[in-house]
Amino acid sequence: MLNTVIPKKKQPSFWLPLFILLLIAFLAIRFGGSSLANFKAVFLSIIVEALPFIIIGVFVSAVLENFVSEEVISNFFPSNRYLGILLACLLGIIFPICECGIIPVARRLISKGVPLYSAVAFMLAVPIINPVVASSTAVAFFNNHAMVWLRLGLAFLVAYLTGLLVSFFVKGNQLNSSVETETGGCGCAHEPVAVSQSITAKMGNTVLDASNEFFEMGKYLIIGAFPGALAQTFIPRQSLLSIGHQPLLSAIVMVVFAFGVSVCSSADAFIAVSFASSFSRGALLAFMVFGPMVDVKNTLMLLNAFKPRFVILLILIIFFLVVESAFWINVL
Amino acid sequence: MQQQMAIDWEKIIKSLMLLCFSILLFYLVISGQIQMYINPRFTVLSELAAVALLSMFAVQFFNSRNSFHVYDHHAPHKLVYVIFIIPLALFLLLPNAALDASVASNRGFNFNSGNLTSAPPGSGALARASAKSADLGESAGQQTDNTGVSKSGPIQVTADNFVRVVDAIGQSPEDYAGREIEMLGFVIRNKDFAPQEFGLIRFIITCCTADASPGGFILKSKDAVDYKDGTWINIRGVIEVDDYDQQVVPVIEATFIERAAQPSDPYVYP
Repeated sequence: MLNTVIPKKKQPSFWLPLFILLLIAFLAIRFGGSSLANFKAVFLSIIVEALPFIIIGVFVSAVLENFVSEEVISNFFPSNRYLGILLACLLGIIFPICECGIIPVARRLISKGVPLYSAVAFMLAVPIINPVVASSTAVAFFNNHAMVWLRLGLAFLVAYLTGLLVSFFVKGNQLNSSVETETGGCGCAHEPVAVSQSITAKMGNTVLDASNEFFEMGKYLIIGAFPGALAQTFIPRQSLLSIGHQPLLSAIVMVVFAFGVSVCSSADAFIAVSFASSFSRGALLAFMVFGPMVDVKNTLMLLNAFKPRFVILLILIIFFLVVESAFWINVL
Repeated sequence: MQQQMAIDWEKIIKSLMLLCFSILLFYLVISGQIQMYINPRFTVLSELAAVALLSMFAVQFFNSRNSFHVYDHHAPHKLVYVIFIIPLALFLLLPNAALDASVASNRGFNFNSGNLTSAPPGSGALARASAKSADLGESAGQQTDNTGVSKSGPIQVTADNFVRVVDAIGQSPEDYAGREIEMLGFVIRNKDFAPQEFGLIRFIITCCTADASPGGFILKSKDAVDYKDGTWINIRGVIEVDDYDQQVVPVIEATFIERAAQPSDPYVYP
C-alpha cells in the first residue's frame, strides 16, 4: 500500500520556493533580462524534456505496486547475491528507464522485497546500460566506438561493485520511511492490496499512486533543474578547460560538472563529445558514468527515498569507483 | 472535520497543478513553441505526457479514495506545491526567447578542431547528424557528395543540412577550399579574434536546450565591426583554409552580408 513509500521525512518547507524566486529576481537585476531569458529557456527545457520520463517512471512504479505481487518480483531475482546483482545490472537492456524515472521504481522494488543490493545495482546500471543510451553514445562518438564499450563497461563495473559492497556492508532496506515492515509503520489502518479488487479499481489506484509519486519526485526535478540551469547559463565552460589533461583532477572536475548540470543520460554523450579535445578520455567517461548515477536532481530524489547516511555512503562509493577507474584509464 | 477540509484543499491544489502542466504541454505542442525547448523528435513524448497528466488530473479530481491515510500524519506543508508554480510562472511571466550569443560564448568553443565544437580533429562531433543518413560509414573527406553537400555551385547551408554540411567542411576544409557558400546564422566572437573576424553560428539541439551547442564557421569581412554579437545575418562567401590555434580550419571570406530576421525556429537539429 501507499504507506510503504510515503516518507516521514520533513518536506522542504515554503522558504525554498521563496528563496528560488528571490534568487531569480536577484539574477534578473544583476545580469539583465537577456540572461534571465536564457536561464528560463534552459530551466524549462530541462523540465519539459524530463517530464515524460518521470511520468513513465512513476507509472511503472505504480503498475508494479498495483498489479505485480511481492512473490513474483522476489522470485524473479535470484537469491544468490552475485547472480542477483548481475541480473539487476543487465535489466536495462529490456527495461530502459532513464535516471529521472528510475528512483521511484527502485524504491518500489525494495518495498516489494527485492534485496537492497540488487535494487541499488539496478538503479545505477539501468540508466546507462540500455539500448537508448548505448546508441546515443555511439552516435556522439561515432568514430570512436571504444568510448561506448568503455562507458557501458565502466557503468557495469561501478554498479556491480557498488551492489556487492552494499550487500556485504549495509543491513536493512535503508528506505527513508515507515517501510520498515511490510505492514507499514505509519500506524494507519491500511488494508493490504486486495487481490480481489476489480480491475477498474486497480487502474484508478494506479493512476492515483502515479500522481502522488509524481508530486513527490516532481518537486525534486524542479528544484534540481534550478542549479543545473544556473550552471548552464552563467558558468563559462572555458574556466574548466585549464585542468583538462591532469589524470586525476580532470576526472574530479568532470564528475563535479556532471553533478551540477543534471543532463539526461541519453543526451550527456553529446556534451561529453564537445569536451573531447580539451579533456582526457577518463574524464569524459567519468562524466558519462557518474552523471546518470548521481546528479543534483536525483540526489534530492535519493534523499527523499533513502536514509541520508545511506545516500552519502552510496555517493562516496560511486565517486571513488568512478574517479579511480577514470584515473587508471587516463594513466594506462 | 477540519482534517477533511485540509484534504480537500490538497486534492484541489494537486488536481489544478496536474491540469496546468497538462495544458502547458498541450499548448507548447500545439503552438509549436515546444521547439524552443526540445528537439521536435521528442514531441510525441510530450504529447503522451500531456495525456497522462490529464488522466492523472481526472482521477485525482474525481476519485473517491481520498489521500487521507497518506498524508494525515506527515502532511507536507501546503506551500510545497508552490514549487510546481515556479515553472508555470516563469513560462507565463518571462518573455519567450531563444538562447542568445552570451550563452554561446559561455559554452567555450575552440575553433581549433575545424568547427565550433571542440571535438578532436577528425572525431566530428557534429557528424552525428550523418548517423541518421545513409552516409555514416563514409569517413569524412573522401567523397564530399556523401555528406549531402552539392558537388557544384554554391553550397547552400539550410536548417535541414546545417549539421552535416558544417561538420563535413570542418573536418576536411581543403576539399572545399574555393567553393562558394551561403548560410544564415548569428554572430559571436572569441576574445582572440581579429577585428575583421567573427564566428557565424547556430545552436544545435540534440535533446533539449540544456545541451545546445554552437556550430558554424569563422567569417572574415572588412565590415565585421558593423555586426554586433547576436545579430542574425545571411552571408555569401568563399571557403578558404586558414590556421587557427595551430589547426587547419575553414574560414569564409565574405563577399556579401545582409541582416536577417531571427528564424521562427532558431535552432537546428541533428
